[in-house]
Amino acid sequence: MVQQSKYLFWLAAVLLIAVVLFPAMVQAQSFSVSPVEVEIDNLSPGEVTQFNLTIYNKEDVNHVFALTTYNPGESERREGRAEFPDNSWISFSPQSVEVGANSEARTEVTVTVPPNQKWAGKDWEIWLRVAPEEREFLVVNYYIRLLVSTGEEVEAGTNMGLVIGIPVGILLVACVVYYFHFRRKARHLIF
Amino acid sequence: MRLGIISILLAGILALIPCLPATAQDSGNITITMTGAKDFSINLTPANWSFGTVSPNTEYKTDLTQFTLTVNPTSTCAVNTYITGEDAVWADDPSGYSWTLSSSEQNDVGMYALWFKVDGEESYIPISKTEIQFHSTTLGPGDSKQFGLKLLTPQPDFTEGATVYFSVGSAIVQTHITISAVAA
Repeated sequence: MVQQSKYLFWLAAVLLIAVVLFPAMVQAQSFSVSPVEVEIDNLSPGEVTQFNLTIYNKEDVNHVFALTTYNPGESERREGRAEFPDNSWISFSPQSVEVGANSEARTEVTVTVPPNQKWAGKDWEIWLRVAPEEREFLVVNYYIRLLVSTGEEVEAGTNMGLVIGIPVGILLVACVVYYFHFRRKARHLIF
Repeated sequence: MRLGIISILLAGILALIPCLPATAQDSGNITITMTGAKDFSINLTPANWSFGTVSPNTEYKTDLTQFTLTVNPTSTCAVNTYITGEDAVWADDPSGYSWTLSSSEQNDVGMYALWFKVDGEESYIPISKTEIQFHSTTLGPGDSKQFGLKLLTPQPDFTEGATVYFSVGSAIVQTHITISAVAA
């Protein structure tokens, strides 16, 4: 009986299907971003730098925007710019931004280049994509060009263990010296 | 006593030495240039569209003036534009039924194809999941381009006699077309 109903259902199923719904003469989400291009110069391997992006929501309702990275093809990059080696060197805080109606919100972008000589003296380009999370049929995305040039020197980075360990060690040695000096003095007094 | 005090003072000075380079590292000379002089936004109308009720393995076209992309006249730089599509999914249950967007302009069972054509240009260009240029030249502030879409629906999921069917009937299948812009 169930099989028969199923068969009848499929037979009755229309061969027609609708693709994309609700025609309406409204524009795709209206928003903009600033700045549209960021150039970082002399970022030595091992260093970290940050900047802010602002998203402007020009609509009467709140929207959530997602930030991601995108590697453009060679023909899309600025002249002399190579592909950014690793997208994980770029992070967003927050990565998903809720922007109120007719207002703006910021997100902080952090760029980190690992401390390795092979990343010195490079010119890279990567794009930062801002995309609305709620989407209609036609969707607008914006890209921000991020141009990164690294310095020639490599920053060794702060070894906190070494920075703390050396002073502590020296102080311990000083205490031992001080202790034995007093002990010797005390012996002089006894005898 | 005096030797002890001198020892501690020396130890203190020695202890500070390794900290100095660590502090100096914070004073790097990184330059960040935010190009504030450049600003742009684009508008797409209409945001939504329906091809209505469609049959398997059939081609549908919109008017070539159906959609309009406009670079906001208040923009201060030209833009490069890109277009990409994605799989179409059943609106009620996206994981239950979908059509894959073809990358070869050919349809198949469960595979559909999409094209766009900018009004005044020669031919339809296939839309795939890989981004391609929407317009071959940069668009300046106030520039506007009208375009249309062509849809080729998938081949039927099954056939009964001479009648072809999708395996979900009277369902709404939806997709998205993304147009991206970057400063030229």
